[in-house]
Amino acid sequence: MTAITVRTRKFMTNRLLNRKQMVVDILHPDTPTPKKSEVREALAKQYKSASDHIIVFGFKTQFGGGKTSGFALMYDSVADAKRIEPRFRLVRHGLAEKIEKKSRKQRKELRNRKKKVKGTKKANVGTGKKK
Amino acid sequence: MTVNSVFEEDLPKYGALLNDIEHELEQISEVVKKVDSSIENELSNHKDGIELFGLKNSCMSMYLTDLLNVVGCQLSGVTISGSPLVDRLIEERVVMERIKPLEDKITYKTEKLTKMASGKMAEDDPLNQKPADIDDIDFGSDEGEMEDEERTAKKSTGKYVIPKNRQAFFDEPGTEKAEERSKRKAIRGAMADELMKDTDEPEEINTGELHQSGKMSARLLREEKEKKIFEENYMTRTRVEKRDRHKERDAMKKSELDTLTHFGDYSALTGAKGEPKRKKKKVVGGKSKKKR
Repeated sequence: MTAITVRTRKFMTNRLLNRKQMVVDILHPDTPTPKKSEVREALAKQYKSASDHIIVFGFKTQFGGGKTSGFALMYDSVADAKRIEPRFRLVRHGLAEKIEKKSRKQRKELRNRKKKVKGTKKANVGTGKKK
Repeated sequence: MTVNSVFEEDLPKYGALLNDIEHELEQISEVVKKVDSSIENELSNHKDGIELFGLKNSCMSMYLTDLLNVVGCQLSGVTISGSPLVDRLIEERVVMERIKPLEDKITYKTEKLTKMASGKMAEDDPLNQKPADIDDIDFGSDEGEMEDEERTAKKSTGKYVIPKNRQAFFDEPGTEKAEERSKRKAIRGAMADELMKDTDEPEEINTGELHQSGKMSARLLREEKEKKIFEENYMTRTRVEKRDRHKERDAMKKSELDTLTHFGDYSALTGAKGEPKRKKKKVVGGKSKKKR
């Protein structure tokens, strides 16, 4: 395990959102920027919680390397995190699945085609055009 | 010397000592009773709370009693393991050790006050005094500046009262009031600064990896500091425009030697040609907006 020092600043308990939020400073001399999972584990050990409760984002490494700063949110439970966090962050942490959508252009084209038709025929628009 | 002869010499001494102990025990017990009763009298008045010194005295007497108890047990062969005696001793010891630093802090002040009360020392005698306690200094507040009506209005309802539109007086720099105000401001600023240094994280000084000499550096540093404060307060990262990113990249590429050797354009004084103006090149065939 590489020698990483994790320090937290501006620690605040946010009771309204059931979490503790803080600014995280990581000192990692001679190693590249540590992965988010490593940081989560280090924080979990420091604050005696599960690394599942911890959401970490916004890491920026200073020029020259060695020091990175970012933000961390420590929720009371995974359910709280799933309820409050935006979807993209949950996907990054593996707590939710990415919703696969068609491309924006295709969605707009389909919508415009549907506009030309009235009633139950709208359901057939997509399937009809696939020919 | 044989063992017997030593024994014979010491035996009468031992007897005399035991007699002495018996006689002096009576006197000692009287003194102890006096001290005990005086301690209890002091503590019996709980109206204003238990005072620190009274607590210390009673704790000390209890500790000594328990200590003697332990000695008595050991002399008579009774075990002390598991008895409440040991717990009591530990508790009293801890209490006294906790009291000690508090006592050290207030000792000087109590001594001074008692001396002044008993008349041994004049109040303003500067020779016998240390610098005053920080709590005793009156730094003064800004209450004198608010008008009475405003103050009463604010206090009575608790609502925000819009300040009246009134003349702002100019305090001449020489006058007493202006000097007082400036003094107060200076003290408050320095104090606040010192407190911040103690509580917040250590102050970081930019040594110059991105150092640019001239007027730019102070502004850039200020901007960066503001940005950092904003980002940490709102827990977001600000968007960096392409232009700013390019500027940063160029700043990193620029070597310090250029900035050190650049002394500014003073051609106007010498009448020389001066530096050529940098022309912004027009990008030929750049991206044009798509025609839709």
